[in-house]
Amino acid sequence: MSYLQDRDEKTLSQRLMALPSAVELVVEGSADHPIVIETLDLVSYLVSLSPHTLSYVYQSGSPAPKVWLRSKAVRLLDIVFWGVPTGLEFTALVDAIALYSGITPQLDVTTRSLLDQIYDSIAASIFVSPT
Amino acid sequence: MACAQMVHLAMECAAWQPLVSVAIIQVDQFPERGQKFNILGVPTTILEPGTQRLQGVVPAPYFAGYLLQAQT
Repeated sequence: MSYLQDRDEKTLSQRLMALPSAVELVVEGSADHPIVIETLDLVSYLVSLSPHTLSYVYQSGSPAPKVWLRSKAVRLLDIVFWGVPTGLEFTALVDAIALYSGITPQLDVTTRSLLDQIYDSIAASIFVSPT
Repeated sequence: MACAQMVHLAMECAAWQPLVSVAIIQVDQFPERGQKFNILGVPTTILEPGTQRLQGVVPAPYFAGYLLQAQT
C-alpha cells in the first residue's frame, strides 16, 4: 500500500536515503491486533523507500501496540509511538528517524541551556490525534 | 497541526537531553489511557514525575522550563 503521492514519495525517499546513519524501527504488539497489522504495513512501506538506511523488526513481547526506534548513531534517545503513526504523526515518525540517525536538533540557545540543567529522568507523554 | 508542533518540539528536546523520554499516544486508539489522564483536548502533554500538564503548544524555552521544574 502506498501512503503518499508519487512526488511526495520521491521527496521522502531522497530525504531518507540521505540519512547520516542507519535506523531500525521496532514494531511491538500482538500480531493479530489491528493496530499492529496497520503499523507493520506503514513501517514496511517506509522502509521500502530507503532500504539502505532503514530496516524494521517485529517483536511480539509487548501486549500494547507501539513503535520505537534504535540506531548505532544515537543510543540514548527514547521516543515511542503508541498507535499507528498516520496523518501528522507520520511526519513525526520521519522526524524521529532523522534524529535517531544523528541529525542535530534545531533548538535555540536558551532552550538548550535549560535542557542542559536537567539532572533526572523525565517522561513526557503527549496525547495527540492524527488530524 | 498543533499536535505535530508539540511532538516535534518534545522529540528535539529528547534528542538534546537523553534524560527526557517521549511517548506519543494516539488518544483515539488508546481511549483508556486518555481517560486515565482525563484528556479533554489535544495536544495534551503530561510530565512525570510531578503533575505538570500542558495544554496545546508552548514555546520551546517554556517547555524546557516545564521539564526542568518537573524533576524538582
